[in-house]
Amino acid sequence: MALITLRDVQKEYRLGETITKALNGVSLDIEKGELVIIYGPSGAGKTTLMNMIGGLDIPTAGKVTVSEIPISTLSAKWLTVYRRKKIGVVFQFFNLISRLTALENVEYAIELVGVRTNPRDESSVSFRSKIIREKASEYLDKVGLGDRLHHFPAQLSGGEQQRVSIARALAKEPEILLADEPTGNLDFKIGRQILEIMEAMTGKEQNRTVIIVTHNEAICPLGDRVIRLSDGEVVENYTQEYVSAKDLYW
Amino acid sequence: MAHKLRFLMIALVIATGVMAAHVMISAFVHLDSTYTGAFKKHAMASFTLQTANPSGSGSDAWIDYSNLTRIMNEFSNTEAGSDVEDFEVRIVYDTAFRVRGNQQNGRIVAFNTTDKTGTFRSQPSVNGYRLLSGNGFSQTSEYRNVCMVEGHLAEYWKLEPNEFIEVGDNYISFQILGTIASPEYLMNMGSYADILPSPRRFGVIFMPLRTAQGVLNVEGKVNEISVKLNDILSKSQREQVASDLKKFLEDEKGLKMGEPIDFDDQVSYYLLKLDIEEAREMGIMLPILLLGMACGGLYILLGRMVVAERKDIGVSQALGYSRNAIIKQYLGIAIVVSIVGTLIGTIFGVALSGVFSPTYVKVISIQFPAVVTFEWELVIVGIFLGLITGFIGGYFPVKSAIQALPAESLRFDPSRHIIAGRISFAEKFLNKFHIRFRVTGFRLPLRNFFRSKRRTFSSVFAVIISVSIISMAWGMMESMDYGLRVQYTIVEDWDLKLDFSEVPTNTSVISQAIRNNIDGVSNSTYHLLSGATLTSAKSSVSKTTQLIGINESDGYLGHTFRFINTKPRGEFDPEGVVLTVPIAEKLRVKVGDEVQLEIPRLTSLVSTAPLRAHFEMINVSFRVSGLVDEFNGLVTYIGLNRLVEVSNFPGSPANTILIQLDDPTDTNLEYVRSEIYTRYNYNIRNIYTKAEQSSDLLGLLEALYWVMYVIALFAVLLAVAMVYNTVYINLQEQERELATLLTIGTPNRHIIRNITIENTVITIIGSFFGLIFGWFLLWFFMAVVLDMEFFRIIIFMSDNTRFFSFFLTLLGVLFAEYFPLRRALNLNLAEATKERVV
Amino acid sequence: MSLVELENVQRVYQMGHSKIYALKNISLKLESGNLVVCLGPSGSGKTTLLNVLGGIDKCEGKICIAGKEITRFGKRKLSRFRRKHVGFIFQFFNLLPVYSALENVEYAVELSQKRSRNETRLKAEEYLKAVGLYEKKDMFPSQLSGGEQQRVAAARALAKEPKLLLCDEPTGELSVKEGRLVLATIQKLVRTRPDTLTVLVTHNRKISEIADLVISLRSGTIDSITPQKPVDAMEITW
Repeated sequence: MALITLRDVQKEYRLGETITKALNGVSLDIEKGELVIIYGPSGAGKTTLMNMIGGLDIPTAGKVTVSEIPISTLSAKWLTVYRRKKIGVVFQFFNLISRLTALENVEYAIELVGVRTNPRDESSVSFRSKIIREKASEYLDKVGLGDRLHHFPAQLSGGEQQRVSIARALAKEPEILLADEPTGNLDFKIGRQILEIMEAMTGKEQNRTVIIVTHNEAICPLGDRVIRLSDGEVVENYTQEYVSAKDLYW
Repeated sequence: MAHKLRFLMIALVIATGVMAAHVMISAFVHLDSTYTGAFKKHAMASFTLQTANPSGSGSDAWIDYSNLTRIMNEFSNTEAGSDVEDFEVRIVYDTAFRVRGNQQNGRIVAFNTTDKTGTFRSQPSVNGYRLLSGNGFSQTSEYRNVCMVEGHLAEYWKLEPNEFIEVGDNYISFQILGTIASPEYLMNMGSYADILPSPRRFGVIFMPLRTAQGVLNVEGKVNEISVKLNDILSKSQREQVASDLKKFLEDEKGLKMGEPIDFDDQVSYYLLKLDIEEAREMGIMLPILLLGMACGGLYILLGRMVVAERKDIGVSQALGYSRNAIIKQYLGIAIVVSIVGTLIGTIFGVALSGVFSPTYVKVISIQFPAVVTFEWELVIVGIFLGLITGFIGGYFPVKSAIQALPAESLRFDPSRHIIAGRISFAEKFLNKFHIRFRVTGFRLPLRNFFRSKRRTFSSVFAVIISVSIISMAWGMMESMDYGLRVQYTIVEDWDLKLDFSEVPTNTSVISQAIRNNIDGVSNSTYHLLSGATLTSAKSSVSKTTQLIGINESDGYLGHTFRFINTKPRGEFDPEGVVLTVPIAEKLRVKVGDEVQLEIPRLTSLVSTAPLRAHFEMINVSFRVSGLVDEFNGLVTYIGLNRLVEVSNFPGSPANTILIQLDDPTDTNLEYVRSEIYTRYNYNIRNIYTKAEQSSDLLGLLEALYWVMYVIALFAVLLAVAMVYNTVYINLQEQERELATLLTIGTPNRHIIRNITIENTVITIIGSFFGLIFGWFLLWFFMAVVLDMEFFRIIIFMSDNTRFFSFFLTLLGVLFAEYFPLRRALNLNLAEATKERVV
Repeated sequence: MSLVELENVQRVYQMGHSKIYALKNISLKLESGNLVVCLGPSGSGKTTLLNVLGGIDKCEGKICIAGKEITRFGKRKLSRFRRKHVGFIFQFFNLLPVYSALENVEYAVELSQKRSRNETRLKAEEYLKAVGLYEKKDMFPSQLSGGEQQRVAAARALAKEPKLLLCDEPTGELSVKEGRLVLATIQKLVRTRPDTLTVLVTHNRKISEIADLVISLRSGTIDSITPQKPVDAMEITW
């Protein structure tokens, strides 16, 4: 069975007094280790689809299964556990917590999953927070922000913020990484850098499933699988030989 | 950050609440230990017992000193007197003084400065005193005309040691050795017959017994026994001993004694307790009000904060933080705010109570040093109150605002409750009359006002709080003023009041003479003032009150009755009694009911001038003919003729003459006053003008005014702060709309105008309800919390106060509007119109 | 003289430590009666260009519109300029939620022109009819779909009869079907107004097919300016 399966998933929103159908019967399978591009114009339901997979939202009808967990039927409490254990999210608008520094933003995520410390070692709180700090700065190093640890989001450029956001998502070492328009608010060069980082950190050998949502057709070649959405429906779903991020251009 | 500032503000409100709770409650604790300490230290009597007629001259007035001492020793050795620890036989005698040529009424307290063994002592064994300034008695004082002046009297006249005071009907000059405080006179009050006397009507001096005997011409005599019993005795046990002693003295020794007065019923202490009890309720209500406001502030602020930070919340949830974890985070903020507030409040509270308690003790004019102790129970109570405030103010808004699913949090529109438009009933109503405002004009503020119940409610609510608290605080002061004004412009229907030292029996003649012989006097009448116990025939509850016998025969009462609405209608019936409302409430009687009045009945006459006679106490039934609600709440009015008739008095006895002038200018008042003094000087204790008496009374209420000013000041600050908060947040929520309007070219002045109109309308509507609520608060504080029977406050709020509360709030609103509005008008339009909301 | 003339227009942001050129040395002349599409990926500076044209963002260089140099205007004059001459269509519609569809349009008419109340109303109704929403004139934005809201926004912008109509990703929040209808509405309406220059910003190449002129932006500079024969909006898809 595929890692992620969706069966006839529907989602409706109420907006004021009107009802919008964001997803209209979506069915698809995603295999473990795939890099999936969900592509479509704005308003097509891409983000909603991502939210369903990430357990950030529940469908109005239909079924979502991830690692054989029927997440569409989980309670809010178990959904939280699911998100904590399995999911990392990168948002279009970075969504860093503005009153925390870059380092603290990453620590905040690690804090959640905890760190393993040898009980015979110093297991004091300060020791634990030291480990968390080290781990957080290690991840920020990986995205090339080793010298920006103590900057607040407002002091960082868009690309830098997005890199912090990636470090934050990856620091939890999630099984599935979701990225909602990770390049959406960045110019081409910086956007491509971000994709390169994501590609490097989620390569096939790490066996991590990555789902990137985009409206930018030029990013599609990056994926093992491309799912094209339009008006809440899957119009295309195909696998392909992927192209490395550094060869992309838009 | 604006949030930090507002949280700090709320922390400060909490701090104020906690501080107020600590300071005010500990003030009462300290006050309590202050006077119990004073009682203990100065051996306050467990009960006192006077002769049957202490101001008389016969055998029922005075008892031989050595005889009484022997009898008391004898009693101490009986079974009934075994709990007597100590006693003192004294002279306690009410008379007139003259201070620097001014009339003053008061009391002489005299004790023997030589003990049983013949050695000098400066303190009596019971009912001692504390020296405030100057010197106490010395060995040479015994027969000399020296005295010590009790603190209240000394303070009123600013008397210093070595000054002189004239004492008694013959105005004998006494040198003042020092000033003292007495536990018997914690408050300046002598008897239930004259509650809250003006400082000129009552003052106490202490003098050596031998001197007093000489001045009063009662060599070797005393008229009072003060007894100190074992501390462990209860009130009823004390009363038992007292009545045993009275019986012993009367039945076995043939003496005539009055009623014993127990420690708890001692008038000054009794009234102090009443006073404190009311103030204590206030001390609890004020902090609760403050903490309630802090709680509301936190509620609004955290609620809005959670909405504003929905994105962060959504991200945290997406990361895998549970809803409860996030609730805890925000609750943490509230708790931190309350901890900060509580800490500041507690520290300042403890520090301030060291200053406040002595000030409070001083302000209510207790002349003993305040006992300030650290009350850790109160600290815990304060911390508990502060934390509860934070918890309540934090938990509920956060819980209701955080969504279960992160996508909902991320999608959550901050203005979700304000995005729906509709045409309000009010607008439809206006449309019916073809009143339609322009789209760019009033229509926008009108729609805005009705767009969201919750939002409008929170703004209106802030205005309500502001207006109601300001109007309440001012109303409190006005009510006090109004009560006094009514008392002195309407109820007290006289221009000059004359007090006699001795009750003359020919008052009607004197009154008539004043009316006929002195120019400018248009009316005069006389009252007999005394104390009496009233018992309801129905409920058999009794109450000691001031009894005023009103002479109705001269066609001028000197008093205007303002009867409250009753069925049947109230009237002054010379055959019945008129009661003040607190008495009627206490006795549970209505107009038409019968009450028993305990009055003295003359059994044998000794002399008529001065009036000296023997009495027995009898109960006479009277019908309640009307109820009045006056500033002085413990008065029974009775027809003087009927009173004289049942008590068998000779002639027309009275102790007060009330005089009305044709034209009561200052010069005329002075003229009449000096005329009376020259013509009838021999027995006049004092003559006051209305203004003198009312200003004396105002002076007495100074402490209460002081408290109210503080409340009013706080109220204004808090109210403006609260309004500021709400208006600020409301404008912030509208930022995107304002940006859109500005982008499509709406001029700044339109926007300023619309928002000002909207806020003014909110202020007007809020003020309407605020004034109603303010009236309710005023009623609550004055009628429920400050329900003091010995001075009644008529609830009153002037139009000025109403306008002032509205105006001040409007000012706060406009001030609050300024900053966010300025911010909105300088918004980066490119950003503000593009922010993702859905 | 052209309706819109840009001379060396530059916009620099400070973000973190680095300077970002949102617009770099742009010079451009645009004539009225055209529908111009600014095309570019995110971060290319297309929205900034729109903002400086509309006078809601500041910049270096010189912008003249209808002969007036708006880059020298103060705040008050800019506000007046926007009021009289610029119509905006935002990505997020930005209708006033407390006003009905008709009132939203009336607001713009009342703001920009001196007319009697009746005339204002008739004018607003006329424009609502033109966007095909006359029968929903008394509905509030919350009762309208996104596409309908955007059409009301189009009516609001055009009812001012502006010299300049600026549309920022007007289909960004809409489904293809709704977006197409919005574009068709804009296209149809601006064709009837030879005095108006329409500038529409999008990242979607397909949408640029409806333009008379496509300006392609890249990292703050003009990549290309291509005149073309416009395609009817109802015939495109994305």
